[in-house]
Amino acid sequence: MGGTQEKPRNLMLGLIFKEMWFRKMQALLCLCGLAAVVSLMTAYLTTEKAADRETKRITRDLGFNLRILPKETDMDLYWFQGFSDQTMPQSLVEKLTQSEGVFMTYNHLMASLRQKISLGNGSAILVGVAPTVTSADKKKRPMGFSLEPGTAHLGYQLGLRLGLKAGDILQVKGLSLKVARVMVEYGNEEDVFLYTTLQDAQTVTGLEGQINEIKAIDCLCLTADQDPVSILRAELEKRLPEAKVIQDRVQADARARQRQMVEKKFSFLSPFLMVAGAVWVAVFAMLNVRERRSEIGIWRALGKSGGMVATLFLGKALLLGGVGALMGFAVGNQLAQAVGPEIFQITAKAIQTEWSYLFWALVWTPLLSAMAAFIPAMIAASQDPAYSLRES
Amino acid sequence: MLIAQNLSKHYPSAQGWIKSLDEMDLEVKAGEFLAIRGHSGSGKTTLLLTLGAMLRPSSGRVVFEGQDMYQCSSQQRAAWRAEQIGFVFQMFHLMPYLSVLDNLCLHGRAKAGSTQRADTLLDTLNLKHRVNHLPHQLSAGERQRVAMARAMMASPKLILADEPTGNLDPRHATEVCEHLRKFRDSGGTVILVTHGELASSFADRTIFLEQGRLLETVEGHAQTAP
Repeated sequence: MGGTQEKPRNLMLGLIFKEMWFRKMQALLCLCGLAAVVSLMTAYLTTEKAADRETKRITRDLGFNLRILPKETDMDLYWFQGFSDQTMPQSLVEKLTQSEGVFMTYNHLMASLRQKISLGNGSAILVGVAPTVTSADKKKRPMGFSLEPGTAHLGYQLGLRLGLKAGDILQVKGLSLKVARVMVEYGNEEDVFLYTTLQDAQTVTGLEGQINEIKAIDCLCLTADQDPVSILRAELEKRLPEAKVIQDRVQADARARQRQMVEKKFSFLSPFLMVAGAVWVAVFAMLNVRERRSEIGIWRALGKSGGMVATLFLGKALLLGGVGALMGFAVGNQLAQAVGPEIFQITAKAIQTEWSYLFWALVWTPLLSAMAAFIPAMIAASQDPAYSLRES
Repeated sequence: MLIAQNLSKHYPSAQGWIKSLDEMDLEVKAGEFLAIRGHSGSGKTTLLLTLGAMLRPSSGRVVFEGQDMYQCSSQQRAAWRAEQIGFVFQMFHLMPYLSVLDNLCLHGRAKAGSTQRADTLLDTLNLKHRVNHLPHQLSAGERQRVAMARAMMASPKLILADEPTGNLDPRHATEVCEHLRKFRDSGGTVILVTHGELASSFADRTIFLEQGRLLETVEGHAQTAP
């Protein structure tokens, strides 16, 4: 030992690593435990986000549930013929979308003009639609199908009656329209619809700059018993007094119930699982300290301060927490990426790595682990060393 | 050097309060080798830990060189232990994950010369060849010698030894006692708790405890328990 050189010995980090290396299995188990909590939480939160997105998409795909009509619309006639006998200026759409906070209540606004026209040997419902307008902040994808000027989408029955197929030319009151497609059979009035752009429909009907309906989806997501219609009407009255709104109550109610159910489920499960995860992390950290109580007694017997002992245990807890968070995030994320697309098939491509969860895992896991280790370590360190030594 | 006055320690238990120490008075002079003997549960270890500022008594006081130890803060007592006392335990209480050298240097972290001091002590205790070994790689006798070396690292005035020979064969037990005797000879003070006659044969004075009370004091080497 004559060759032993004077060098700093027993530095804090060195002590932590030596202890962990000596108790490899215990450190590994603790690390795996922490990583398991984080991975489960990451996978759960990622899939929760996916489920929320999927639910929104499914409920959105139920279709528009609000119809904003000219105020003077004869509702008897409306329900008989399926469109308003009145028109209103197209500029009202712009007025509505520029109204502050409108997208908190109404979204996916789609202006249209519907008129009954003679076509071939019978009649058809001409539906001119404008592109949907959504909130610029929320970056929502537009609903419905896109229409090119000069093209037409034919309802199934109409296509059958006129004997047209995609690529054929259709003459409508002097306007030539190329048939983009004949739609599948929906089994409703859409089978006799002739879809064109709003501008083409306005040209055909001679109602330039006019619309007779704005479709929308309500964002309140209130069930029928919560009376969403009165709220929607009061909102519209303030923003667009020239119009009135009707709600497809059955559809809106189903949509609201579905979303409320999902939200309630997660609002119950998420905090519960987060608390369970936090307790799990805390238990691992506390068990580690308990096992080393006699060691705390030795440190104290040798005259080391409570602060030094706490640092030793906190250091290990922080280190394991940090590494556990990294490992857990990686595993949990992979799990969500692997399982998510199987469950959430509509929005499968939207399941992506949620980097914010890595940040929170790196903050909370070491913090919880350190807090849980700190309390028993400080209790043991503040006792007379004899008590800790006697436990060995 | 060390005075215990009216020292009592009571523990609560399911059967009521246990008197581990009962109004004990004791004085230990500098340079003395004192052995404490008694049956299990007589209060030997409690007395040792209380004298070593590791266990607050229920009543009474412990005065070391004029300073009442339990009037000091926990931090002050820790600092006092680090500077003035060396502990040797029956179970060795070495840090299992630190090498022999690191265990010794626990006392002198970042202090210049601590490695040289450890070097000298390990040489004296014939542990040179074990310097980088972990405690579990050592024999019981070697572990106890490492614990002895650790106790002496800070050049303390007092060594408190709690049955240091309890887990050793007679040869190693004698070896440990001889090292304690040498420490005494170099001016240190030793208080030793023991069950056996061998260890107490090295003491200048032996006290016998029973139910937390001082039963008898024997000057010189006590050979038999009363």
